[in-house]
Amino acid sequence: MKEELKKELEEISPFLLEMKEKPEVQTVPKHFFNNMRIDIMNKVKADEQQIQPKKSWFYELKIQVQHFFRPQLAFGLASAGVLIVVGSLFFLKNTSNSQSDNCNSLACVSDEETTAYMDENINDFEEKTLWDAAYEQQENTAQATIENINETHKNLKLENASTEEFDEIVDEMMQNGELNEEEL
Amino acid sequence: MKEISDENIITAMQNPATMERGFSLLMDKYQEPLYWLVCRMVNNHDDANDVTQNTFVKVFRGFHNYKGDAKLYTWLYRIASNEAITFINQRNKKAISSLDTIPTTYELSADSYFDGEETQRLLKNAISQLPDKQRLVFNMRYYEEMPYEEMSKILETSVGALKASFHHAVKKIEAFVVNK
Repeated sequence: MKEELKKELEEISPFLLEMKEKPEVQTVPKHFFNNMRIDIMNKVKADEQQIQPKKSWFYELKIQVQHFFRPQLAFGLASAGVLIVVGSLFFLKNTSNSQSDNCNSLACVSDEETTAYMDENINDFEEKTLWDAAYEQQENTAQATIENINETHKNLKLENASTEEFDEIVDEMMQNGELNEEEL
Repeated sequence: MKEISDENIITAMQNPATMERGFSLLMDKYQEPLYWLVCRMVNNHDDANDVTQNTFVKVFRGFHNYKGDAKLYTWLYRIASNEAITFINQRNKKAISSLDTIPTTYELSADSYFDGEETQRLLKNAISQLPDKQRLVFNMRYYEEMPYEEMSKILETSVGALKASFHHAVKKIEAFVVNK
């Protein structure tokens, strides 16, 4: 018996001190603790089959990562990755082709349509864009005027020519490229 | 044979691969003391067997809740004490609902594993008539010879309150024996 308890009992209850020094009277059946141990292990094993003990989130994460890096799965994922890259490149190429088709079809829009669109949406354009467009139009008009003058000059030359001069003028103009056979 | 340390038991039980082995070591060390703690509370061998088994199953299931902030010994004794008190309360409720008379002293003579002389039988009967918590305090101190500081951690009660409880229990027991 511990000294501390002995002193305490001496002070408060000599009767209990005396009883304490007698041997323990309660017993257990033979092999009781071995059998209890077997019973407990059986219960625990039955439990394990029904309820898996909770594991930490870190343990679960580790298992998931290990699962993710299995050789078969890694090979499959790598193949899928290559297919996705190739597919994406193919898709991007097609998209850029169709964009250039659109560009061509825009080029086909007539001047009248362009003018009409600009007239309708004049407020949407920046001033500089409008000035550039006006300049370009001016240039085109000047070019057209020069071409008209040349045409008129050509016609006048032919109209005023005598029958003798006509053939010579035609030959000269064909040589200079001012006339072609279709116009004749 | 050298007794295995609590640290080794805890380490083994924290590893899923050695958990079962760790649990087996835990039972080697604590099966008997926990059985006797429970048996002195419930005063019946068969009931003590059931309650002790339930205690160990709970320990196994709930070991992930053991954070190491208390000693393993303290944690196990707390579970066993709670199990024993819960069992006694359930037994009392059953007795009330079936209109049985609640025994003021548990008849140890009915337990075939008690083989004591008359004075000892009287002592056991005197202990059995103590209130549950006081009986637990008395058993831990008198039979387990547990220091008050350790009891304080298990029962989450102050040392002063435990000393007073033990003192009252001793006086009640003496009075019971003298009156018989």
